[in-house]
Amino acid sequence: MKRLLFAATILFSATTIAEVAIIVHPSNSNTFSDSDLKNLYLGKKKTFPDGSEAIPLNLEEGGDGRTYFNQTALEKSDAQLKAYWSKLVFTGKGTPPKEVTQDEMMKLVSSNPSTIGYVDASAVSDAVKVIKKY
Amino acid sequence: MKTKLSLFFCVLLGFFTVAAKAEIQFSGYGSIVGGKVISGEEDPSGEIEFPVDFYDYAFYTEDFKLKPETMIALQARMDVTDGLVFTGQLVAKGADDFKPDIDWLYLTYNINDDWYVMAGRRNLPMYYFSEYMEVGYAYPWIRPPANLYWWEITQFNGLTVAHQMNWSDWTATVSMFAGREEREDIRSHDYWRNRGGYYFPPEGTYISGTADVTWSDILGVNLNASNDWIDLRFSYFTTQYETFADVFFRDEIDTDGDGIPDKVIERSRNEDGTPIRSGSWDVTKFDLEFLGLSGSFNFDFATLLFDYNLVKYDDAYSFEFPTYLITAIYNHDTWQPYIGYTKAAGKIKKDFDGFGTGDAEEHRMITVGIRYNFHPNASLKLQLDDFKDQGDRSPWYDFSYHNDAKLLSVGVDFVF
Repeated sequence: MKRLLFAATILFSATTIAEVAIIVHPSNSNTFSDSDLKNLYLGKKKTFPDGSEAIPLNLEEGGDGRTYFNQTALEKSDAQLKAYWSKLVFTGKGTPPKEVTQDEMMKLVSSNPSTIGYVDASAVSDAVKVIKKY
Repeated sequence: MKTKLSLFFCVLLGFFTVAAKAEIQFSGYGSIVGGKVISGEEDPSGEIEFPVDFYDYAFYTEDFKLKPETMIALQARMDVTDGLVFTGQLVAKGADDFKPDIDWLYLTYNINDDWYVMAGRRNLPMYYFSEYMEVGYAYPWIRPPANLYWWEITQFNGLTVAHQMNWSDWTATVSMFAGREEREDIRSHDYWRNRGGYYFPPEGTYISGTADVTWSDILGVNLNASNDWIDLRFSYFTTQYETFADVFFRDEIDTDGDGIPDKVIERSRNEDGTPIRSGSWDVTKFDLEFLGLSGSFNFDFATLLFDYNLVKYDDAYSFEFPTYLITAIYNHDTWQPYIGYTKAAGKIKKDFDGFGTGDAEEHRMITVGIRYNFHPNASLKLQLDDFKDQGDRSPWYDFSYHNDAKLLSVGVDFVF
């Protein structure tokens, strides 16, 4: 029984990672496909679908939200993503998205129309627009 | 080396003065690697060796060594003005006694979102992993297999113009590059020379010395296209290859036939006092053509890598050298076991001086290993390489310097 409980705890702890909401400035009227989002976060595109400048923001390393976002939205493990970026960084072909805390993410996205970010779905307020949830 | 270093700091200082407000970002990468040959055949020098890096002349023997591949690199990146970025990399390698060297030094100018220009010293975009072949953290193996990545030239000084495009789910970059590279006093040529390589030293003769190699008029194109799960790359370039060697002979002569040398003659100078130096002819100066097709396929739990390349020498032998690799990686978050196969098979197409035509050198390598991502910025790797010479061993063309050997290596790759 104890073992079963333990297994259940592990299962739940893996699924307790809340939903992640992709957020932009309320004035951003772009529609995003899954690959638009991937291309922005992998540095392959530097603009939103309408052609305006895009600044993707990343949560700081170590947070559950970031790992979850990498796995679901970008379909890469943390290590794979880091390997991907180290190749671009050391060949001068790209720099990874700026890393911020969840609070900073909310502030930046609500004040700068060029930014795009993601936060725990429970942290979303009216100051930002949710375009997708994972 | 000192002049290069001071140049690096002068340039850095110059940028600090010009753009006092510019933010400078430091990052870096490194590897601590140890290796040991666990079995194999002796080569003509009497050693069981396993070469891993020709550029830095690194190889392992039956004694465990940490020095050949251990290295650290520091990168400085600075936005000089709007759209203009300076990048410099200082690299210290065990194979080079940890003397810091400037491997990269270039400026990137972003003309707009779609076009950029890079000017300066960078890695030459040859094989799929060439541009970041020293960033161990960025690929599965401990090192890119030396079956393919065996050149003594890996960098160039020049210009790259790149254009980025998007259509549907695909993004593509096409770039053109031009430049030149010279390397002096290359030690790895010693390795070939004394192991039955192209100088064919008779028994009792030891030839040493260094070689200079120049790749001039490098001109090439790269096309990279990728979507969610496919990444493809085509590369092509031509260059004029030229090599000169300062040769030093040491002959041990056994006059009474008892197996003990009685007389040693050393020759490194011609009668007129000039160094014995190889001349410029159809075997040491020729046009070289490089063609590559490579890529990676990323599935849910696995990644497949392939790299096919063909090198053609327009030399007296019309030498052709196809190489390829294929690697499969299982992607668990923290554990990534991998298995790979590489093959190289050179052919002589034209008879030169009665040398004959046909298969010249052939070898394959099987690699198995595991990568353990134990830390967000570091991974531990354990790898076994099995190298087998499958070449022609006719008396005329003995390439036995490629001895069979198995290598066990362990390493930690990190980024910061």
